[in-house]
Amino acid sequence: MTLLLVPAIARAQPPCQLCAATAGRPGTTVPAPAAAMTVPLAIEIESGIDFSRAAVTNGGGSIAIDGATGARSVTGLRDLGGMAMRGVVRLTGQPGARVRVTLPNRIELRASDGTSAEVADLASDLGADPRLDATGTLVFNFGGRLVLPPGATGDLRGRIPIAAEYN
Amino acid sequence: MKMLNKVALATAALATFGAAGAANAATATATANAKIVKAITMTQTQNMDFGTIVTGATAATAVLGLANSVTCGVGLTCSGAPKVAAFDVQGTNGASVLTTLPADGAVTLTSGANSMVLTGFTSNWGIGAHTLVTTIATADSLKVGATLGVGANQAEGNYVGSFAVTVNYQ
Repeated sequence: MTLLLVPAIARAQPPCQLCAATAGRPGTTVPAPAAAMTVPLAIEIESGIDFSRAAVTNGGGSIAIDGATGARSVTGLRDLGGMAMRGVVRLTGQPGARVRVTLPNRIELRASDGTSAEVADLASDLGADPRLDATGTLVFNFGGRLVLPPGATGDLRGRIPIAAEYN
Repeated sequence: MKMLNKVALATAALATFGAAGAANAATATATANAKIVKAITMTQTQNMDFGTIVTGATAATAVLGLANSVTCGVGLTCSGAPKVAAFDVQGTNGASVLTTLPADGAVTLTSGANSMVLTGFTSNWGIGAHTLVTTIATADSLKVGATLGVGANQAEGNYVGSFAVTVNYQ
């Protein structure tokens, strides 16, 4: 009986391009996405901003709504009361995700007869580093200041584009 | 064969990452509203005047109607040129306003120690809402009448008084 010894051959493997490096296993480290967003970001306007009613006398004036508190202040106009409202927006998406929200600093309101006025100082009450909470929700408020030129009257309406993205 | 499989897997992974990026942003549009009107101004253009009333032995009333006429009660004799109170009212054309008139008995006309009471204030704008009809040049006209309670053998004299009328946006 003859015993034949056969050497074992180890074949070299090409580097794994999609593998994270693990102990005992050659490969190339590829950084994975820091936080894979599996939940689409959605934005819902719960309330627009309503400056309510006021009467102009001879000059112009302004109506301001504080985004943080909803407080309304009237300057240079006769306050006719009514239900003033700050804007309210709801974001939903990936729990814990950072988000960046963009709204314009100013927009124009117009009445049907062409009368126009500006809403300036649009601002939200978001902090410096807004995040969706553990349920994937973030609700924020916004306010602004309506500036009325002398003689501007009418039912003034405008649109405020709001954008949000994962940060 | 193994190399071809690995390339196919890489392509699928990149495609999935690209699709998730499209859902990473969202936009919406909020509304902004305000209702701005002209401040209401009122200018009195005519005082209320019941004219001349000769009293009788029994108490009665003189009703000043919106057509500048007085209806004299039994026992009274009315003459002269009666007039309703009148105001020019300016504001936003087409706006809805409410008028507040004095309550019954709230206004007294006096002549020395003697007095008579006004009741039943009425206006051409009625009790409910009125729609303002104004232009830059022309105001809306508010007219106010009332009923004067004349006592039996009411003392003679020039009886005068004053009252307030309020117009507010509804």
